[in-house]
Amino acid sequence: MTATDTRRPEITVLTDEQKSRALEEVRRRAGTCSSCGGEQFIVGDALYLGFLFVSENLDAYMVALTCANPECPAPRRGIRLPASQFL
Amino acid sequence: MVVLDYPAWLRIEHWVNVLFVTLLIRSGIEIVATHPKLYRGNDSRPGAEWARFTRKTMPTDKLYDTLDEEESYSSLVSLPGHKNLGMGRHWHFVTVIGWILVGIAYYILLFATGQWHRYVPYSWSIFAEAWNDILTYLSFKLPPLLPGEPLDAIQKLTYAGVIFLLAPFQIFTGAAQSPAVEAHFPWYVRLWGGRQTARSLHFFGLLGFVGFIAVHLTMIGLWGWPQLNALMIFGQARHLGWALAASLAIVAAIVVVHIAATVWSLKSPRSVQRALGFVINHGRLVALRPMVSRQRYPQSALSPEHRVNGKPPDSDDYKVMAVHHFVDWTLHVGGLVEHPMTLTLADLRALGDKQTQRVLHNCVQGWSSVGEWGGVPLRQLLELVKPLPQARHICFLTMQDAGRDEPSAEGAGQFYEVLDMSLARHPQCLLAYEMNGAPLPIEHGAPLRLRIENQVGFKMAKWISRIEFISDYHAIGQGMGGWREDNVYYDKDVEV
Repeated sequence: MTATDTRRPEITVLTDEQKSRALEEVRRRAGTCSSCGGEQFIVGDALYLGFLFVSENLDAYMVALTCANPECPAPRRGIRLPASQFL
Repeated sequence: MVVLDYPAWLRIEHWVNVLFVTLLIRSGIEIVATHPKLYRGNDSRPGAEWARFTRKTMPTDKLYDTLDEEESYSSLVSLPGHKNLGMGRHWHFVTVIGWILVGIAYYILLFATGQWHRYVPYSWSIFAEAWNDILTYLSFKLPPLLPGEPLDAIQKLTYAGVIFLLAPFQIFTGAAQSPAVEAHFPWYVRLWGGRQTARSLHFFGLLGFVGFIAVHLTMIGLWGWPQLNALMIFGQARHLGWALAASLAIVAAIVVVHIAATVWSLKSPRSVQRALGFVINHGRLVALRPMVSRQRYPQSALSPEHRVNGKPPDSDDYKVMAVHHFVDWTLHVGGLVEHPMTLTLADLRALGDKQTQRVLHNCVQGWSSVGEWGGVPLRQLLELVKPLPQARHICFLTMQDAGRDEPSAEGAGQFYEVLDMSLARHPQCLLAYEMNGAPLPIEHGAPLRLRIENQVGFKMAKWISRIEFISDYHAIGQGMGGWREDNVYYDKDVEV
């Protein structure tokens, strides 16, 4: 099993710059981990929500965040961002 | 020499046929309404339809599904009308059972009594005579009857065509749309040029019957409604006044049956589902349940686009899981099993060699596609969890909330479907986590969906989160064996 076998077709891989912009937005919103309260995150990929989900605005994305706290019991989180704020 | 008169059995069968054929036409239109587009081959790619009976246009920037494309037709043309596919299917299938039985009896009696002479041509010259008859009708005159026969040449050929060609054609093209038949005899679908070609041909057959009825009624009007109805009611051209009244009474009775079926279906669909489903299911389980899928479509047959029925779970939990490639998703398997367990996607992938199957998908609405699915055979999971002897069904619970996720759905609540244990060990009963060589797309049920290839698509639950082995399903939901069965009155066992 290779890593590429499990990559989802809907996922948008973000560049470092896009990840930085997303992280800035997390900090601007004072985002914290709802599991451990941690404030440090690692930004991952993005999922375009606008096409797939009924309630979502057309420019909405879910950006993957992983809580940087190694003790966090549920580190995988996400933040909903409009495309203009990070892409 | 057989006297080609009107024996009682022929008269009774005629009027029963009028009822059955008209019920089949109206319920058939109801079924067409649910996906009012016709295609060729096996695919139903958007935009590839050669005919459409809808003015709806679908968005390009938002996922739409085939529930959004459904049309609501009037009860005047469809049974029962108003977007009731479940009811339309029940009426179509119960009527077709009756129609086939009556048809078999008709054929037997036709040949046993010698009455087949009225329909079967004796010589090629009848075609020339039939052409002359058409010209005669076009000059607003009546052609002569064939010597010693009750019909003229064109009538004889037309009846022969309807009885010996059109009626079997409808049954055979109908059978070509059964997922069980298609799964067990893939060559049979090819014979018709593909699932969608069979559906299109079936539609032409419907038009054929509608055209025949229109011309038939016109002919009776031209030749003498009272006389011909006297023959078809009393067996002799006498009591013409009574014959006229009786014919109108019979037609009125048939209309009353249609109205009653429509009102019953619209007012009390659950009782229709139970009553007609009881009849249909027994026939279906005997005739079609044994048909195990053995499909192996070639790579070249894969559909370029696979339509969607049902929208993904519109919850933050699901979206966060999805953006993390479903690493946190778990499948709970429990209920009547020796070893309940919780599996991650990685666990499922590690269970054994991935099984792939390239198969024809049949949506209950009538569209179809060929897809390749990869995953774990359900029987492999059964070996792990070891169902207890009293486990008779498997309930697949999903992350979809129909009320939240599917504005076009008639109903709310968590989507689930129940499968009989007997289907779980079918070789192509699969828990699929891949489609066409890639991870299962979100709109097709990521991270896990069911594939059971001799059933209609809605049984193949998508976005599965839990599997429960159960002894009885009547306490789940509204007790009918699945969300669609509960809310839109589909049948639980859907080999057709």
